[in-house]
Amino acid sequence: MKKIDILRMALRNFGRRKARSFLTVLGVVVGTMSVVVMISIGQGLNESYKEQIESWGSLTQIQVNGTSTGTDTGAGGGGTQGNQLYMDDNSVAGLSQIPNVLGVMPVKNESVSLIKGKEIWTGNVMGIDLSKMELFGFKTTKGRLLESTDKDSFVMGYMTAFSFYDPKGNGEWINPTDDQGNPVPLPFDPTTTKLKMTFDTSYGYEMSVGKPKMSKVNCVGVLKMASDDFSYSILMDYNTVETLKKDYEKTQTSTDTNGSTTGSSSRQEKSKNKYDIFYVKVDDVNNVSTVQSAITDMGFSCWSAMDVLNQVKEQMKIIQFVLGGIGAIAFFVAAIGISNTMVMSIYERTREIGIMKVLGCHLKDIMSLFLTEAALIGLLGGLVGLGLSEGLSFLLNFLSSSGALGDMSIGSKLSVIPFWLIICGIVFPTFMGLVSGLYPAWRATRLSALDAIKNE
Amino acid sequence: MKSLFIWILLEMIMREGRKSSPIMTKEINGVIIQIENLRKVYRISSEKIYALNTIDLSVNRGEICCLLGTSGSGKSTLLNLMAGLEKPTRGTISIKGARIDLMSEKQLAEFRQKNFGFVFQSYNLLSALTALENVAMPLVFCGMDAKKRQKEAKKMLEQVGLKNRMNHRPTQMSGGQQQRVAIARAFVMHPPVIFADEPTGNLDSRTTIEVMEMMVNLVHKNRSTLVVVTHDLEIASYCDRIIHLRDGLIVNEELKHAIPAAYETANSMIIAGN
Ligand SMILES: Nc1ncnc2c1ncn2[C@@H]1O[C@H](COP(=O)(O)OP(=O)(O)OP(=O)(O)O)[C@@H](O)[C@H]1O
Ligand SMILES: [Mg+2]
Repeated sequence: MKKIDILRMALRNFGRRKARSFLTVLGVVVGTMSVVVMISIGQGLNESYKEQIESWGSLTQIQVNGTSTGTDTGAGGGGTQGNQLYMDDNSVAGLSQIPNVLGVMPVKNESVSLIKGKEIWTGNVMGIDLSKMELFGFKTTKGRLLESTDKDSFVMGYMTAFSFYDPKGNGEWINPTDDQGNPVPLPFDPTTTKLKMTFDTSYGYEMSVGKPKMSKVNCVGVLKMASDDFSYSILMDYNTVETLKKDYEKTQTSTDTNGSTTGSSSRQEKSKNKYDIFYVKVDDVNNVSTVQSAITDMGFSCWSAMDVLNQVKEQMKIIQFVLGGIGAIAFFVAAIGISNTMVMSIYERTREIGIMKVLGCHLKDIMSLFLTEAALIGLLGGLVGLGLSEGLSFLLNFLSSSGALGDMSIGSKLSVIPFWLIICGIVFPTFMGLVSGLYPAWRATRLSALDAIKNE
Repeated sequence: MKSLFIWILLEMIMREGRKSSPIMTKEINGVIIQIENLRKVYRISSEKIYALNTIDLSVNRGEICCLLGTSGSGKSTLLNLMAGLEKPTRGTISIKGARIDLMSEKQLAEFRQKNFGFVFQSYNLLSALTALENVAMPLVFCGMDAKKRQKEAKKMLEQVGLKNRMNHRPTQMSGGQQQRVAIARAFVMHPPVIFADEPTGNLDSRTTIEVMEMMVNLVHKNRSTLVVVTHDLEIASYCDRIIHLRDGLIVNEELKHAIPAAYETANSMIIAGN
């Protein structure tokens, strides 16, 4: 038999029992839809989590918070003294040697207040290595990044610009993002506004004593919106911070003995730990874990957004598995539906099959005929199911973005149907139809031609 | 399901084996059907029913052969065995020198397609198809392309006088018309052997004559061999040879050397028609 004739005949049989064919296809449609929509939601969640985590900091960036052995080896004493790890330039050099590391940016944090007229911001100034700024991909939304020729200058984090308020008045809070999570215009232009900085973080409050030393500083730019640590700080050259701090401390000890500076013992510790944090830039996302374990092996404690992402990915796998499992059950039921329909149809067509056999229809043609019919049901169900899934996915995304499903704080789409899922949504139901048709088709070939044609 | 896999496996093994099996023997002296020592036993629980008991028979090429007997004498059983629709309990059946009894389902399908035409008492047309589609069915199975088989089927339907009924479905036709469609279907491949099991069993006497004459005509025209089962003596009169069956045995063979009168009239009708 010609393939076209097999197809034609299968189509004719498919169309002969319209209601039953429709119901069987409906089963496959529901099965396909549940699998596709479930997986698409899993995919959507996956992608939105990834976006969210990426906004916390680049995925190729590792944050070294300190030495994991720092506090107790001091007491252990002995010969390890020489190998004692500190957050110093030696460590920076050591970390830079790790393969796949593009660079290490040491950071020294100091608490400061910025004064803009009556308004005050209190937070961290991060003393950084200016030469690394470009490598770590800092971008400004206003002004420019720091250059080595800048004197007493800083770059302001995006969130910092929104965090000035008057401690004595009722400052108005400005939301740094709109409803969609997009940045809004800055409340003031820090690059043209006169700002003063002091290391006395109680300045402007009631408990503040005396008149602290003010440093004249100017802002050269504001960073783009992000939710990492930089966004809530101001960035300055490391040496500038140190110089300004020393100047401040000099005036403090001479004028006020109850200065807020820390005691001598911890200051000694500080002198050994020159920096507070290292930011390590890795060349590729896939190398982050290896580099991270190398850093841990060296005796540092570290963290990266990848940690969270991996954790989330693990959880997402479970969620996807459960969602996919629910879909798979629907799919399995659809497969039984196809099998059932085909078996029923063979009972009905016993006589017809018998006649075909008597007329010399080859067994493999009879087999192909039924397999084609079953595969057609699968294919049609898959196609319709995919179409409806696309529609449903669109609707879900529309509802979630319009907030009809409550505030889900998900930036991107709730349901994402990747291309591979579309292919699977066509191939898999067809294949399932074929497999479901295997048994009925075999039954058809085994029918006795004689029994079939004997007087009914 | 398990037996399905076993079946697939066996099918693959058998495919190799069958190529060399000695199914073909030689057809001798114009004998197209050769039956020897044939027996068919049905077993119903512990009881044995000898539907056929030691049958020896040969049918010549071009012959119209009638299996005559009372109900339950084994006529249909013999026909079905000849057509390869059932396997004998014992004995051999050769058609055109090929051992039908040794063939696999698959080989039989192929052999039937090329060599046999069937006409049944109950017409056995596919109810979903039109007359034309029914007649074209065997051509579909042998892989002829649509245009050609359409032409062939039309030609065949014209020969049985159903030119204006081509697009009718079986339910829209009378019994006689349905049987004529079935006859057209049986002859459309121009097979060397036609089997007919009580082809006129459901028809009135006038239609019976019409149908029988048509069949005999077509058999002669196509130089086919016809084996027809009946219990009707009138039908037997159309035949060259009558084989009387009783209780699974051949009790009498009647050879008609003279051309039967009915056949003569049928022949002259065709000549007149042409
Ligand atoms: N499948 C079967 N199982 C058991 N017994 C059967 C079977 N087919 C036929 N028989 C028996 O074989 C015998 C011959 O049956 P067969 O059908 O050949 O008769 P027949 O001559 O065609 O009769 P009729 O003219 O009524 O059609 C009968 O006794 C019947 O009961
Ligand atoms: Mg019978």
